[in-house]
Amino acid sequence: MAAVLEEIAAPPGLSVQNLGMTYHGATKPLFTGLSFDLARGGRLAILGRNGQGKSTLIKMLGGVLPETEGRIRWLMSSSWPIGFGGGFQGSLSGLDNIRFISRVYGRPYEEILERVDDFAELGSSLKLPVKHYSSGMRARLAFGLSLAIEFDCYLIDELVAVGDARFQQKCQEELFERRATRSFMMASHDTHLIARHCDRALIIESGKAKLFEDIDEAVEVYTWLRAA
Amino acid sequence: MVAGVPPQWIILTPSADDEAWREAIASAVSEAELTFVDADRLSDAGREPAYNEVWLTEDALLPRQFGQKPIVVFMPRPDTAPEAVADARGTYAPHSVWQASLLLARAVDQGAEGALVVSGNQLNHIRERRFSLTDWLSIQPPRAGDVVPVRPAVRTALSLFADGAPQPGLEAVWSERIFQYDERAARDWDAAGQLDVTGRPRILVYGPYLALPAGVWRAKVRFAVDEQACKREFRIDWGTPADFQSTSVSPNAPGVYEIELEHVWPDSAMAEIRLWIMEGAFDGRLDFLGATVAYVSEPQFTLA
Repeated sequence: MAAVLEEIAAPPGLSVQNLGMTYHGATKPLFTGLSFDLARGGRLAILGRNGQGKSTLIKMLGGVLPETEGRIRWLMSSSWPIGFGGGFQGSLSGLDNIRFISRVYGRPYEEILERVDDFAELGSSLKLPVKHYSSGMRARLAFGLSLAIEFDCYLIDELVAVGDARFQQKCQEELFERRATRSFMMASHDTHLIARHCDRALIIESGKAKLFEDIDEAVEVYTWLRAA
Repeated sequence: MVAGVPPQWIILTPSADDEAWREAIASAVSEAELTFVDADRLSDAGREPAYNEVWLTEDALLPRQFGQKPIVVFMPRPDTAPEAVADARGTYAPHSVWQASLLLARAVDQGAEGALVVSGNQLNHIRERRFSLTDWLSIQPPRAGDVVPVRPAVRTALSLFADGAPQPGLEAVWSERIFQYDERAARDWDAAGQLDVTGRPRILVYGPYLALPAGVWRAKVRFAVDEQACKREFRIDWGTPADFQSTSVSPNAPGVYEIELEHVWPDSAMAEIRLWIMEGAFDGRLDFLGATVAYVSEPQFTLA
């Protein structure tokens, strides 16, 4: 009972209030008035057709893009958008980028290197400048780095975009099984993945966002939207 | 003394004047030197109607159980029937309204079976003047009791029963207030009938489960949709819960729409209108504006 009360009284891990985004020069906002909470351990899907603002929202939550209105308040640690390779310094090698991230997050370089190398399977390619990586290699490095640092909440933008089927399986195991108690926010078109791993969903459409407490209903509505 | 009269049945539909009417009928039967039996308050459930007995009941189905038909149906103040049902059975609206309408509809059906139906409006004209119904039954109608509060929407819906047997052209408005709504679609709105269609395909509106007598009945169902909801496909069902007509509509433009459907009731039965949204919707508002129900004709039967 006490544990239940504690859980009810606990503040959310993420609070988003009246969030809006208007790109510079755009005549109308991409979305406005977006408000939701994410509890610690909560799993929220972000659904929407192409161009509706899913990736933008993930980037805003990850601190890559600034909010143009409203407020994002994190009360737990959050990853950068997983698979997002925009933070790499292209002229530095994979090893140097790992060293840089280790310092930023105050983690031992050897430990992080071992974890990234073990996961990304890039081997000696880590010695090459990142600008010479293929998009797949870049994604592996980004994903490996994302998982090498432990976060309370992982921001995932289209997991399907990362690597081949075997690597994706590995990613899913690493994320959803080994980190089963963490929070996730996942933008994806893969409704099976969403239905399996998320308990709520936010659908963004034509500048409006709605939160669905029933994930199956959200997937159904989204499927209709895609078919329209 | 009338010798050797076979068992007779009288139907008295529930009303605020129920007790007074039962006493008046009992008195009339007694004057005819017949035995009055109140079938609704019978202590011996296994008893069967006998010669020289007049049985009274509110439910026109009861005589059928004995292979008999009523001779007279009294339908005083039908708009007060739900309250009477609620008092007698300890139930409440909307169940009392549903049950009352079923008793009223079954009573009306007896007209087609040869019974003399004395409607609420006829009784209003007669007032308290004594009148004869058969060569042995003469009745002194009781004084109408006090006015009882009846929800306007229910009174309007039950006006179908005011004249007893329905005639072509008879119609009544079924207000949006007597329907049921998808709980989540209606939760954010103050007034009945205002709906947020967001969600999966589902039934948005259903009810009102008021019974209709046998006949061909037409429903004109009205609703309004906004710019988002008008893009979705809707389906409207009209009939009983198990047997109904359907039509689908995709408005494609915001506005008010009226959909007309006809269905045959072979016997009295509860009527249901269902308004479905057939597609998942991200956004949109629908205002259900009620329906007008009209009697078209007697039921038409064709041989299979």
